[in-house]
Amino acid sequence: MSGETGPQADVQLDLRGLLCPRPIIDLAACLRDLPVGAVVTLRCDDAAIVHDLPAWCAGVGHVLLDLQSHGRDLTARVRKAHARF
Amino acid sequence: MIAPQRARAVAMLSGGLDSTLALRLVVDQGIEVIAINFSTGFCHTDHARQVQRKGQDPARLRNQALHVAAQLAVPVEIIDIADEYLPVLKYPRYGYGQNANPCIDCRILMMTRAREFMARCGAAFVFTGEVLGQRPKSQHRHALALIAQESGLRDRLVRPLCARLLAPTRPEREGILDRTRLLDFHGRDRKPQMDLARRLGIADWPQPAGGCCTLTDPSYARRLFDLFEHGRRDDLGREDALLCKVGRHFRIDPARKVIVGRFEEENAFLRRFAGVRPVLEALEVNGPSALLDGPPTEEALALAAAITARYGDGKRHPMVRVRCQHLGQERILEVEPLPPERCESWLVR
Repeated sequence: MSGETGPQADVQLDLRGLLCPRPIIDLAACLRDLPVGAVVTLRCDDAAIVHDLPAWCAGVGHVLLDLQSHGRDLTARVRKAHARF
Repeated sequence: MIAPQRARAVAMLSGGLDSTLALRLVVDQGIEVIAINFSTGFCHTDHARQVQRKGQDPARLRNQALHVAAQLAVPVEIIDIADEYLPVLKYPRYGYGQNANPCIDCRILMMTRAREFMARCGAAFVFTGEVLGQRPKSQHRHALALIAQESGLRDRLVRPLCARLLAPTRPEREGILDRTRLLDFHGRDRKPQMDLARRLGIADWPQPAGGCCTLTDPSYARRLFDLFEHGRRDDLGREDALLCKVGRHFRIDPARKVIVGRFEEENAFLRRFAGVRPVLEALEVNGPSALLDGPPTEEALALAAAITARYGDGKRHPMVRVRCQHLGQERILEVEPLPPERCESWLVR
């Protein structure tokens, strides 16, 4: 996680109610259609996403700007770092 | 001077020990790897996340393929094949393994999709963590060859952990992969893999050796085959397959069964399927949620209510009021809890 403040989010993605592995699949699909540098803010309530999202970003090379939990809900911002995936 | 482009390969990565070791062997040869992880809808861990019990550590429910790949900075693409998996589950061309696991057909489907992915991303080959002789249904020599052939991957399919026991593949012949750095593991003994993991500094591999597939679970298989035996093979949908994972199942007649939650999170899970199925819950006493699966006649609803009453504190009462919600309507049924021996006789074991 970079801790950057980053640009405003370009896309809001509400993934609440979706369970593994749907949130990652939907996030990946969303990022694929965006330009490099775009930021997606996602909301999710799948508890294990706190482990999966940083791992997915580390593998794919996109930047996890922040990840915060609010009770059962989690909010994260991911910036598209390249156009490879 | 421009550096020559690295060869690219596609890893089929479950995150178990074998696929993790195979990934490491190929990455260590300087190959650029993209991993794919298939979602069939039958992964134990995914289901544990869907029915997550209170107090369960989310770290134990992480997607292991993502975790493994992150350590090697390997990108992972998760591919949802749940819809196309159902026909394979219903009518496997090469049959089932010990339970409801259509392993050979499953591998052919996955490797066919892997071949398509390989073509899209310009990779030279696909590799897996399969070990010759490790699994009786899908990892004997004939099955490995059959899967390579039927998927269309043929000699572009590499099994790095046992490659030296198999004919050289195309990337080995072309010098993309150094065959002498691939391995000759075989059989069911996992010790060689564990020794290699220690040498490579791989510390944790949470999945059991049998993989994380629900279809290898005997009780899941009995519920699924119970549906097939009662005329539900052709129209089996994702919800039907999912419901076989939860609760106690009571086959009350050929067209109907009652599914009763076993703990709070299962009750909540069952309530999510309430759309066209009646949901029953005892009032005034603690007890489970239950679903009636099949046409909801008055007689069937009364029976489902009596079963629901039996599996809660209502069993100590002569009569129990059970709420039945269906298609936005609600009604109360007053029933006598069924004796346990009657319920047990219907239980799909």
